[in-house]
Amino acid sequence: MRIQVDRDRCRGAGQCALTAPELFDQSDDDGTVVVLDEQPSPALQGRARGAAALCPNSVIRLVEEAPRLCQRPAPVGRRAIASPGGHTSAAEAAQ
Amino acid sequence: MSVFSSASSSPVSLPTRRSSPFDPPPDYRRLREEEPVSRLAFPDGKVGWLLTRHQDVRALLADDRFSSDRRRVSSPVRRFPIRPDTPAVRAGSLIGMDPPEHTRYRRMLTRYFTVRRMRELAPRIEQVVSEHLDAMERAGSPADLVPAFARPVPSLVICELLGVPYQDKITFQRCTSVLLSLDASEDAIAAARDELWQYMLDLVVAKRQHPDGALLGNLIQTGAADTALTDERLAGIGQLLLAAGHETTANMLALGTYTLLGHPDQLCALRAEADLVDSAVEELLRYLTIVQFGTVRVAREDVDFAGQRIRAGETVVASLAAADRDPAQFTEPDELDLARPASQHVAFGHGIHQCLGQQLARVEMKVAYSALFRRFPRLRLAVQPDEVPMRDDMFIYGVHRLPVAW
Repeated sequence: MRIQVDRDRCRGAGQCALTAPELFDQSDDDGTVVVLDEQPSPALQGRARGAAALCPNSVIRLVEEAPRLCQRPAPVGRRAIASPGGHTSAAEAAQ
Repeated sequence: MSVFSSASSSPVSLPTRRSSPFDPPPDYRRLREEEPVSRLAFPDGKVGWLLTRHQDVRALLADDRFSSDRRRVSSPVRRFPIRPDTPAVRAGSLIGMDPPEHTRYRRMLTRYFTVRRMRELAPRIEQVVSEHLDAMERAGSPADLVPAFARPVPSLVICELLGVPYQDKITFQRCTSVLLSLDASEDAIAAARDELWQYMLDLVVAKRQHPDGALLGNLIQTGAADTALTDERLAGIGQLLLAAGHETTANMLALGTYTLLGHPDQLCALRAEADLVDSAVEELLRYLTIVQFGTVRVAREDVDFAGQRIRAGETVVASLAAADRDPAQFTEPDELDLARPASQHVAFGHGIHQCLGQQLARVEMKVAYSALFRRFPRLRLAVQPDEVPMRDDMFIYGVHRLPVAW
């Protein structure tokens, strides 16, 4: 997962820094988002999704890395729902 | 009187009659289910729209085809039109601005309200909370929690943050309560607005001579070269932040306490597990959503919105309270569940105007609820629950008084 932000849209509400302080901070100049870690470890990816979902201005975009080719297929009958891949919108992340 | 004559025919009035102190008026539920984008009749005779679904409220508040310009909107509850402010009085009030003007103000102010800076304030807030609890304890049971605790704590904190002398609280609390009252006359509101504005203007002029390290003084010093940062604009900023900073949190503290006392199993869980306070604060914000008449926008152009054609110039009311009880967004929305996971509530609004002071409010609530219930483990109402006077008559919901014993 890679975190991208659009600082022009940011108004510094601070939801990201509140939800995932390991990944986001706010600038001392204008309060807008500062990304501390663009590639969160798997343990922090849930928080990154939470921050993206809570952002009031849809500033945070999470780009999921392309799935590895040699991934083992999930057992039949318990298949995870396939992700559409690419971007995770805030709405999807909220689920 | 029924809200509906028949679906999607004659406009409804904004529902304001509650059937329980903790729940929004029940008419919102029917509107959300049957006519989620409904025609709304405003007291000034105009007709606009009312949104009650969470997804529509969020969409509206994030849509730049709608303006926040307060001069162009109708009030959903006031009996008279909002009299246009003079340009001087309006200056600096970023809540009624659109980009790019809004963006400049917001960028200038946000650095004073970041998560990090508000966390740094926590020790001082703990001290203020503790001093007020000491005074309450000394005065003895029973007490009215509003003047003893809920009102002074956030007032003192915002005064220190802005650099407003707390001893002037009588003036600004009186003016603010007139401005936020439904029953005040047009003349009384204009007089309160002018008095509060003149008070802030005098303060700003004095600070130009002797700037201090608090927010207003700091803005004067760092913006000394910025000719756009006039005394009038600084006064407008100060007025807005002062009113927003003490009324909202004060009501969340008192109403939140009343709510917790009315949900003893939830309060018990909060007492047993101190870490629950983070999610408890978010849940109380959602459940109570004290900006009870919602927030307004006006269409700049004709907009197709959620299946309806909204015409340029029409006012749209986003019911934050209805959105925060939408079962499409929240499981069991009418249940208070302090352990509810992070939930996209809109108690602070959404979009570019989402509350500037929300991180301050969160820290104040966390510190205040925790300390209050720690200090008084046997806190209880000193009157019957139905004797608590509710703020049905104010823009910010809450309780007028909360007699408690311990």
